[in-house]
Amino acid sequence: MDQNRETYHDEIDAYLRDELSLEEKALFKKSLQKNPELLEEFRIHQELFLQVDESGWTHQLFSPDKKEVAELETYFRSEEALKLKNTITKIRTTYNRKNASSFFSNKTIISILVAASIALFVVLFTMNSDDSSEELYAQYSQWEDLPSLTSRSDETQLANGQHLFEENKFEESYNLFTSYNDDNSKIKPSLLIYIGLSALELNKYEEAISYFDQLIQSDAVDQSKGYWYKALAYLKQDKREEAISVLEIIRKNETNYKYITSKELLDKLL
Amino acid sequence: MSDNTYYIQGILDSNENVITDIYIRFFPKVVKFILQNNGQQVDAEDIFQKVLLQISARIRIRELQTINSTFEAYFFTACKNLWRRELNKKKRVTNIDVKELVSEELDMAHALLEQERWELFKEKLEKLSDNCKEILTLFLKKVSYADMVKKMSYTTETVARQRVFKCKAKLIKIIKADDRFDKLKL
Repeated sequence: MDQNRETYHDEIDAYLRDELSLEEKALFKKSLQKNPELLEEFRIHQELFLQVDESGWTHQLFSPDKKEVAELETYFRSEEALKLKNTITKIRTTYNRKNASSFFSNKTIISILVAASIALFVVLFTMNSDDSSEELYAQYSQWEDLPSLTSRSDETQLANGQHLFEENKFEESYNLFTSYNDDNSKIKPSLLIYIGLSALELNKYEEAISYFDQLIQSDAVDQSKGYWYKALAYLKQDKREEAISVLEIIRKNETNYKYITSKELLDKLL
Repeated sequence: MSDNTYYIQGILDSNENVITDIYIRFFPKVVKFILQNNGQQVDAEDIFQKVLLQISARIRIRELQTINSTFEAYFFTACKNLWRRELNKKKRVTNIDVKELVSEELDMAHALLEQERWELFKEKLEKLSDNCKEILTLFLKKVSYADMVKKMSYTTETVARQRVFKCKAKLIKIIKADDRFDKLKL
C-alpha cells in the first residue's frame, strides 16, 4: 500500500513547495477532499515541512487520543501542578523585583518614561531650542554606508527587506528580517544592522540596542558601527548621558566608524 | 547528579532553589526570543511557566525518561515551539468567527501532545544518514532542485529528485513504523 501512496508524493511536494499554478493548486485541493489516502500522506508531509518552517505549527494535523488528552488535562488541574504554578509565580515576583532591567521592559513604565521624557523635552525645547536630542537625532540618522544584502542571489527575502528599509517601510522590513532570523541561528552582522535600525525606527529601543550590542560583540569588520547606532538609539530616546558614554567609546580608536562625526556630536551634547 | 536530573527533580519537587536557578539561567533567553518574535515580557512569562508544567507532566504522565540533549537546549526548543503555536493560534482565531472556548488546561494538554509529535518527526529525521538529512533539509526549505544540484554536487536535477524521493520515502516509512505515530493518530 505504501508503494501506491508514494505515487502521491510528487504532487504533494509540488504543492507544498509552491511550485503549482493557481489552477493546479485548486485542482489539488479538490482531490484532497475526495481522497483520504492522499490527505493522510499530505498531512505527514505538512508536518515534515514544519520541521524547518518555523512560521507554522501542527494544529489540527493530527487528532490525539481523547483519553490521553483527558489524562493530561487532569494532571494540569492536580494539586502538584498547582503547587508548581504557585512556586513559579512566587519566584517570578522575586525575580522581577530584583531585576532592574525587567522594570524597564514593562510596557506601562516605558510609556510613562517616554511620556515624561517628551514632556521634559517640550519644556527644555521651549526654554532652549539649541540642539535638542530630537533635532540631533534627525540630523545624524541619515543611514549611510549600509551594507548590501543583494549580493547573495539565493536570498531574495533579504534583498526585499533592504528595499523596504530603503523605502522607509520599517514595519515591513522589520517583520521580514525578524522572520528571516527566527531560526535562531547566528545573525550575520550585515543583517544585524538592518534589523537593529528597523527596530530603532519603530521605537523598539531595547530590542534595537540588543542587536547593536550583538554587532559590537561580533568580529565583523564594521563591528564599530554598532557603537554609532547604539549612541543614536539613546539619543532618540533623549538619553543623552548614555549617548555620550557610547560616543566616548568611539573616540577611543581612530579606526572606529564615525570617529570624526562622533566628536562633532559629542561637542553638541556636552 | 547530572545537570538534567538536577533540573528535572527540582521541577517535580517544586523546589524553589532549582526553579530560581532555571529562571536566572534561562528566562532572559526566552524573553529575548519572544521580544524578537512579536511578543512581550508577559508572553515570555506565560510560555516559561507553561513549559515547566509541560515538562513536569511529561515525566509524571508520559513517561519521559531522559532528555537526550542538554536541559537548556530541550527547554528552549519547547519554549520556541510553544510560542510559535501561540502565534499560530492567534492567526487562526482571527480567521474563525466563532471562538471555541477551551480551558487553559485542555489547551496545554494539546500543546504537550503536539510537542511530542514534533519531537517524533525530529527524532526520525535525525536517524537518517547525514546526506539524506542534508538534502531533505534543502528540500523542506523549498530550495530549487537546480540549487540542490549545485550545493550537493549532483550531476543532474533528476539525480537530486531521485535522492529526495528515496530519502523522504524512507523517513515517512520509519515515522509510520513507530508505535507513537499510530498512538498519536485518530
